[in-house]
Amino acid sequence: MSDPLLIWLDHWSIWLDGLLGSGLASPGETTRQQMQTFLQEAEVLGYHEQAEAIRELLGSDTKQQRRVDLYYRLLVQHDLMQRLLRTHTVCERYASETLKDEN
Amino acid sequence: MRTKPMTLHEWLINLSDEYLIAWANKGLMRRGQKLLTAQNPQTWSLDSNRAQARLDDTEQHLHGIGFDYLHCSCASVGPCHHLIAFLIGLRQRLKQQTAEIDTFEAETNPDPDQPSPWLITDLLERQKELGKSNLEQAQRWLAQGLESLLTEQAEGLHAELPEPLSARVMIPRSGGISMSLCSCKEPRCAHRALVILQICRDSGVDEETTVDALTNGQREVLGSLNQWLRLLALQGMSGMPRLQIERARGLVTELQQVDLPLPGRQLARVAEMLEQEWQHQSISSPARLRESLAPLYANLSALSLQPLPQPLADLAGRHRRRYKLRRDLDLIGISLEVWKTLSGFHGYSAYFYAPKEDCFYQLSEARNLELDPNWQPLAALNNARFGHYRLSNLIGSHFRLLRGWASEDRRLSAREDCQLSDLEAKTDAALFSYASDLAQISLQLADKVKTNTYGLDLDPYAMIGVKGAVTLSFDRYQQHWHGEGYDRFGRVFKLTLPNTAQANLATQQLLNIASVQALFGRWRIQTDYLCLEPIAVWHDDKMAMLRIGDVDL
Repeated sequence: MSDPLLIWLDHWSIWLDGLLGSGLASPGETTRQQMQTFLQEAEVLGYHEQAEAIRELLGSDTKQQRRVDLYYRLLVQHDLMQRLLRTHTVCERYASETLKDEN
Repeated sequence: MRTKPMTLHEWLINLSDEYLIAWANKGLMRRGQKLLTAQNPQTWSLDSNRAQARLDDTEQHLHGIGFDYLHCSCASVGPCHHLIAFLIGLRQRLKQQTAEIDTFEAETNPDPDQPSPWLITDLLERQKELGKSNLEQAQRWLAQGLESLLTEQAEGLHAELPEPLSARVMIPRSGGISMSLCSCKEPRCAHRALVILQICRDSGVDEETTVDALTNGQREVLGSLNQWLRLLALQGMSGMPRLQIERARGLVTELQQVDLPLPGRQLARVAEMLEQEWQHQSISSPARLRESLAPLYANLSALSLQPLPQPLADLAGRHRRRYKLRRDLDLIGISLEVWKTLSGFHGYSAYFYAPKEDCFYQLSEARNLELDPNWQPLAALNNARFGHYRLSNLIGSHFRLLRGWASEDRRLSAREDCQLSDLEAKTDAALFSYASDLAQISLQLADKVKTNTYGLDLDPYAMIGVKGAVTLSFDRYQQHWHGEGYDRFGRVFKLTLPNTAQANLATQQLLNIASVQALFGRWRIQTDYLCLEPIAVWHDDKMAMLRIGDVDL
C-alpha cells in the first residue's frame, strides 16, 4: 500500500476529528485549511467522489442538513477504508512472515 | 396458472412419508407402519371417490381429497396410527396397481408441461389461497431478508424456513397449496405465503417488494436517532450538553424496545464516550468517538435503504441468542474470565476449545450494572454449574457435551438439563498444544471484516505459542496497558489490557514471567498488528487465569 494513501488517510482523520471536536456549526480556521489540503490531495490521488464531497462541505451555500449527511458519509468511508487497509496490512505482514519462516 | 384437478387416487399415491409425518408425527408413523404389516390393503374398499377399512376393531373412512375428509372410529382426536396405516396401505395398493398398468412413472414424475402448483402468478388467487394478512406478513419477512431453503422433489416442494421462523412447509405436486402442510399446524399461514412469494419473486413473476422491512415504531425511533446525531455533528463533542447525553441513553432504551438492539448497543458506546468527555477524562478524544460513530452511522444508513442491503437480523441485532440443541460436542475447558463493559454490563465467561471444529465456545452470565449492582460476577462464577459439574472444575478437562444448547455464535447455554460425560483431566502443558498461528488468526479477522464489517463484536479467541517474556507499560493518556510479545517464530504481536483491578493484577503476573509458553485471549487488529487481550497464560508448564483476580475458585 502506497505511502501517499496512508498520509492522505491520516490527514482525513485529522479534519474529521477537528470537526467532531468543534462541531460543524463552528469549524476552526485550522480545520478548514486541513480540509483544503485534503481536497487537493484527494484530487491528486484520484479520489474524485471524496473531493466533490469536501468541496460541497466547504461551500458557503450548502444547507446544514446536507453538511451533516456529507460529514457522516465521509466519516464512514474513512473508517471503512482504514479498516480494510489495516486488515490487508496485517494479513500481508503475517502471511509474508510465515513464508519467510518456512523458507 | 392452475394445475389440472387432482383425483383422490393421485392424492393418495403422492402421500410421502415426510408429508405424513408432518401431518401426524414420527411415533404415529412408526406405529402405523407396524400395524400395517399384519393387514391386507387389497381387501379394503376403494373406489374413485372414497375408501374404507377396518383395523384393530376400528373403522376408517376417506370420502374426499385431503386429511379433512379422513375419519377413524377410535377415541383419538386428530391423527392416529390407524389412519396412518390406512393411508400407507391405500398408497401401497395404488402404486402396485399403477405399476401393473405401467402408468406409475407418468403419475409420479413431474410433467414438464404442467406448471408447478407453487407458482401462483395470479394475485387474487394468491390472496384467496393464503390470506391477505399472511401475504402482508410474508412480504415484510422477505423485505427483512428472511428466505427459505427450497428443495423440489418428485412428490412436491419442501421448504425450510430460517430462524426465527424455524418452520417447515411441504407443498405436494398434486393438490398444490390447498393440500400443503406446515409445521406450525395452521391450515393457512404466513410461512406458506413466504414460500410462494419467494418462488414468484425468483421466477420473475413479482417485481422487487416495496414493503418496508421496518415497522412505523422502528422508523420513528431511527428518525429521533438521526436528529440526535445531527445535533452531535453540529455542536461537536465538547459542545454537547449533559441533557443530550441523557437523551442518548433514553434512545438506547427506545431502540431496545423496538427490537433494534445492535444500534442500541452502538449508541450506548457513543454515549459513554461523551460522558467521558463531559467528565474531562484524559481517555476522551474525538478519534475514539469517531471510531464508535462509524458503525452506528453505517448501520443507520443501511437500515434506511429499501430493500435492506443485508438481512434485518444483521443490522438490527438480536435481543437474545437462539440456542439450538447440540449433541456430542467435544470440549476442553481452557480458562475463566470476569469482565465489565463500557456499555454498563458485568459478568463472567468460561472458554472451551472444540478440537473437532478448531474453535472456541463461550459460556457467560452477565447483569446490567445499573439494574443489578449487588450481583457479584466472581461469587456467581464460584457457584456456576454446567451440567452436574461446577463450572470452574471443567477448566483443564476434556469432556463431551452429550446434550446441550449452543447458539450460532458459539455461546453455550447452562440450562439445567445439559448432560456432560465424565471428565478426562488434561495437563496444562497438553492444553497449549492447541495453539493457533498468527497468519491463521489474521485471516479469521479479515473474513469477519469482509462478511459483516459492522456486525456484532465477535473478536475471535485463539491461543498462541509464545517465546520469551512479554513487555507491558501503562499508557496514562489512554488509560490502558500496552505491550508486545513474540510468537514461537519470533514474529511480533501487540498486547493490550484495560485499566481494571483484575487487569492490573494480570499485568503484574505477566511481567513477572521470564519465559511465557503460551497465551490465550481475544484478538483484534490494532495499528497494523495483531493485538491480543490476554485471558490466560502458560509458563513452566502451568496455566494461570489472568482475568479473575487473585481468587481461588
